[in-house]
Amino acid sequence: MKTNYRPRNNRASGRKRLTLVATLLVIGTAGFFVLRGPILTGAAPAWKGANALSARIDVWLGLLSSKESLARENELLKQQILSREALIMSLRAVSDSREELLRVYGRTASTTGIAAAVLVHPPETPYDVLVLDAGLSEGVREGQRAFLPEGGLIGNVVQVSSHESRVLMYSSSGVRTDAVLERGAVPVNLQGLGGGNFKIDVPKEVVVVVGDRVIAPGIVGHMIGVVGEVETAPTDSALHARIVSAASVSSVRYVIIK
Amino acid sequence: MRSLATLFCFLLVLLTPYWMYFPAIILCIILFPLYGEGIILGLLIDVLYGRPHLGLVLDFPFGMIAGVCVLLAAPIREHLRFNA
Repeated sequence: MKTNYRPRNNRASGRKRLTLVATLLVIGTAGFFVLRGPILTGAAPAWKGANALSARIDVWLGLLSSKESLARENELLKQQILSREALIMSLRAVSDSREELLRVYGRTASTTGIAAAVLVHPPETPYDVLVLDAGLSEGVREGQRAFLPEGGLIGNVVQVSSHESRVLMYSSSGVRTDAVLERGAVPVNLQGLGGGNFKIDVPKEVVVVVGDRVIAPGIVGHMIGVVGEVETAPTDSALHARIVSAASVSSVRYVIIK
Repeated sequence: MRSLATLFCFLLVLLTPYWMYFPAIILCIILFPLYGEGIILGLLIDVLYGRPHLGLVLDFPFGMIAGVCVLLAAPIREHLRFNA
């Protein structure tokens, strides 16, 4: 019987679809796996251009602000700078005496590192991953640690190409990191929650106060985060604390790799 | 239209946060039939922003998710009407 419509053959088209998608996935995965270095290198100019444009737009938007609001913001920033300078001076004395002590015992605390600009940071990256503009050519190697210019420890280098590298922050979801709660020198296991946040579970007897520092194990004790919130239930045997990363993940601009 | 949408999604992947390019790619997978470009974009996201060294398949989660979405979108599209 002649018909003026084409009967649908769902099973054949479904199999064809599955074959096509599977082929695309296999070939695409293999291709992208092999070419990941060049792809990262190719994307770097776009990120640099976007960062430069974003900085320029911030300047133009600043011109649109009223004189009064700029004056208020200027005054507030001046006060913040003064208080931070005082804090830095008091902390520098502590840091200098600690470095001198380490030097006496034959341990050097600080070593020079490789400065790298952050090309992409969260939320452009869905995980807490930073893409840096330094790679093998600049001396970056897998496994090296990434620090903030101010000294906080933020993650490890997990992938390096010729001129770019990727840092996986300790706060990335599911990443577990050994650390020490500075108050009481209690060893803890930080569990990354993403977005620059961690959580720790400690026995209820351990004293944890908001503002306590969490530092990396080791003789130098680089800061990883600060306790932001503490919660517990009366029937709970553990105390749960939320830690905030030393770095603001969405505004990190430069890191030191060493 | 499809090429323009793919180019737009590509620019979003390079320049915007994840909460902009994910929905855009999912929308294109639903709107366009057999949108294989979505799989390529998912793999690109994994290469640019992913966490490496989890194993070959786990290194590319968004590519896999895009593949599953393309497969699931086909029967859904058949039940959607885009014109009156």
